[in-house]
Amino acid sequence: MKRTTNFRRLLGCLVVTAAALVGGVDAQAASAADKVEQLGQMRSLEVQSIRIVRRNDFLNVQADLLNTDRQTQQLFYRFKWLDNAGFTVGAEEGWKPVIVYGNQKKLIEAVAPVQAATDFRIELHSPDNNGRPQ
Amino acid sequence: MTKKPSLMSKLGAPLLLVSLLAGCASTSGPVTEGGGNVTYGDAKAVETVTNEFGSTDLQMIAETMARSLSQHPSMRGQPLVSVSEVKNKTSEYIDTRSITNSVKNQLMKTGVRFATDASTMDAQTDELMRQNQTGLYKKSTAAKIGNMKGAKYILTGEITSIVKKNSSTKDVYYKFSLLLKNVEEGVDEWMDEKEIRKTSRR
Amino acid sequence: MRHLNRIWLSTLALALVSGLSGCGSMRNYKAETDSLASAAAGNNLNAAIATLEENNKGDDKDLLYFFEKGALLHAKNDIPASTQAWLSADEKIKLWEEAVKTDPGKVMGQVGSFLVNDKTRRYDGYDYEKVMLSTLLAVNHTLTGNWENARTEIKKTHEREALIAEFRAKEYEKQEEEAKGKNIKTTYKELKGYPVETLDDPDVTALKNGYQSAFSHYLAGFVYEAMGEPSLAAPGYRKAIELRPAVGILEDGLSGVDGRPRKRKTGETDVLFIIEAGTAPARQSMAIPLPFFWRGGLNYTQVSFPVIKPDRSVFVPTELQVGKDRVAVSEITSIDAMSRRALRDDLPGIIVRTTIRAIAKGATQKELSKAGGWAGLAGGLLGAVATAVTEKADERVWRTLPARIAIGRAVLPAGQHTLTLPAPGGVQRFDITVAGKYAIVPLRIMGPTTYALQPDVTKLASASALGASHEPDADTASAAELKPAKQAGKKTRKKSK
Repeated sequence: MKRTTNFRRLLGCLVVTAAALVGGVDAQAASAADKVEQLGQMRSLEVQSIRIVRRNDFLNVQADLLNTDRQTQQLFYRFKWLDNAGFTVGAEEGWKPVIVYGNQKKLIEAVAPVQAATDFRIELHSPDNNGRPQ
Repeated sequence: MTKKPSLMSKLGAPLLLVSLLAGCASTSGPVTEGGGNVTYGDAKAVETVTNEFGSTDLQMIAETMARSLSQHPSMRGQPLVSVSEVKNKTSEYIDTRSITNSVKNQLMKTGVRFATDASTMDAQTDELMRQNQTGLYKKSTAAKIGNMKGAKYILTGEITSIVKKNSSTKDVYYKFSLLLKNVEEGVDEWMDEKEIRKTSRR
Repeated sequence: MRHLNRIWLSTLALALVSGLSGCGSMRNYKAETDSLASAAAGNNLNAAIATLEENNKGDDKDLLYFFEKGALLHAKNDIPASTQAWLSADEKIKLWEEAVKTDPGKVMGQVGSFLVNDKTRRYDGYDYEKVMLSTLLAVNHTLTGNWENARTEIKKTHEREALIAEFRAKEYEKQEEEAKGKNIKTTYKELKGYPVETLDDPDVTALKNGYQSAFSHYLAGFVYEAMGEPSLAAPGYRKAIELRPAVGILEDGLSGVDGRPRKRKTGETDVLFIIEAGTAPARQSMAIPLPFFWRGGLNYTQVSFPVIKPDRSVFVPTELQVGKDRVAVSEITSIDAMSRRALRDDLPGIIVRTTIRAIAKGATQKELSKAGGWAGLAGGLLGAVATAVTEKADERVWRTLPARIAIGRAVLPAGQHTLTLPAPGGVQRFDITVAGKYAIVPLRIMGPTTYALQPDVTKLASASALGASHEPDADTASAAELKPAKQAGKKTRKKSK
């Protein structure tokens, strides 16, 4: 159960041991859970925090990822951009491959393709540390 | 239906299972008969077939460049931009126009306007000439000669690569850089780079 | 080699004898293609084509037929017919490509089959032939003014090269493993009496591989440049330099890639002269005694290996004259060397297959004659006949491909020019007409005869009259310089002494 991440806890699956493992959870991170869509629960990569700012009229997003494993992990990600009504805007993004070294904290960032984007989702997939989807 | 607890459902489940196993439960779909082993894939998927320049590289470069440029202050006020040739300094046949077209496509959605560039110039000027010189068009509707707009900025750049190989590994490093130049002032206003490393092992 | 399982061996031997009836192995390809080449060299292309048709009367024409037919028609300047023949060849190569893409292991299995002689297998073409086919198709398309199709063929050439590279890498790896597993030495240096100098020639070893040529890539550069795509033209010229370093004309190609279109004035044509000289060397069968162990004793059996003798007599001019101006010409590709390189790379595989087959056969012969009596005698005879018939190396090869390819490039005013070419049969003059921004003029030298191919300028003129904007060669300025279609369309194949 040591692999249980704080992220999983945030999703609402409260595991008793998790509380002991994880310290304080800030408000920003709490909202992160809603923004992340995983293709299979990742065991050793966790989204720690997501920062959002509107700059030059475009939504800017930064997400911190931590590799809790000592092995290098392959990660694929992409963003989906949504407007006020919750519709996707801009064309479908291509998947991007990223390498996260053992215990590395990796930053992924993105800028919205159009000004109309007010919300987003991050799609994440890590082929080698897939658990069951929740 | 699932809420109806009955003898029927109790019997039905195994029955359904049997019929599934027999293979008669499959529903036909909108695929032509007698097709070969061809499938449609995801155009946005990460492509790792070989380590030559591929679709994922094109998508990543175009996206990074377009997003970066759209943020730049020079793009506010929707200036006119012309796309010039991106020089290919690799020995791979990379269609850089396809990359710049993707950048252009994405930038247009944010409101950037583009002036005719070399690749579509012929089509446009031919049409202009036809409307004016053939005598077939109504004067009032024919496009006038001498009204084409000059671009304030041109977009240019280059792609380079470093390829290293040994008996078991091939490593390719690409660097794509794009530059925005103010035509009149001769000032480089913006520049960005995208680096990609691809390694393949036998 | 002693580890060969006896049961396996006798099965193999049986399969060999029963598989003898393949009729492909009965044709004498070398004699057939020799007669084609000599008719073409004697300025008698029609006779060459007639001979080719005579030799291929069946309905099921093979790849070689279309290769040769396209090349003869190409020399005859019957470009549409040549293109058609080569496209039929291309269809067959596409089948091979499709098979390689879907199941490379199966293709390798067929190639690596020990049971049948190389000669009885379907002819899939050598790699350099496959690449040259799409390259020459691109040339043909430019001659009929169809640059878009030329671009497609160029792109196909690249894809083909990539496919071949991947497939061969896998295949050679598998062969190496197989040779190791069966304990067979695969170096040709140990073949007694084999002319190893033909394969260790510096011209051959200097090549990166047996299928990529500087010509194909320079042509790619030229076609992309003509299409107004310098970013794709540059790697073409760059690759050509990599494949054939230190040739001035190739380096000029790259260094001028950005400036050239600007410098060319209206009404001028950038002309690429392609000198296709000689015919590709033949493959000959050479018998070599191969020692093997059988039941503890040393035995010998005759085996045959293909040999390619380089043709040093092929004449390649170093310059030609257009009007009064000289145009330097440099050789950039030797198919002669490429074909030997292909053989050099294939030889380990050929050795493995031939050795296994030869041992099986030699053993069969011994076993049969040992059995004694009439039956034994008959069996021994049969075995000997089997050896004689099947054991001849595969001599099939595309002969009418040029042995050497040279290029020259000049910017000329659009219109008619007199071309003077020093050739083995004396100085020859041709009238050629060029039009458009870019043009390709191939000259086919075979023996003492030179055939000048003429771009079909009528096509260019009509395309531009319609205002086809995607036709980069048909700008209004150069079309205006054309002679009336009737005159410009006339074929020019003058020969003077």
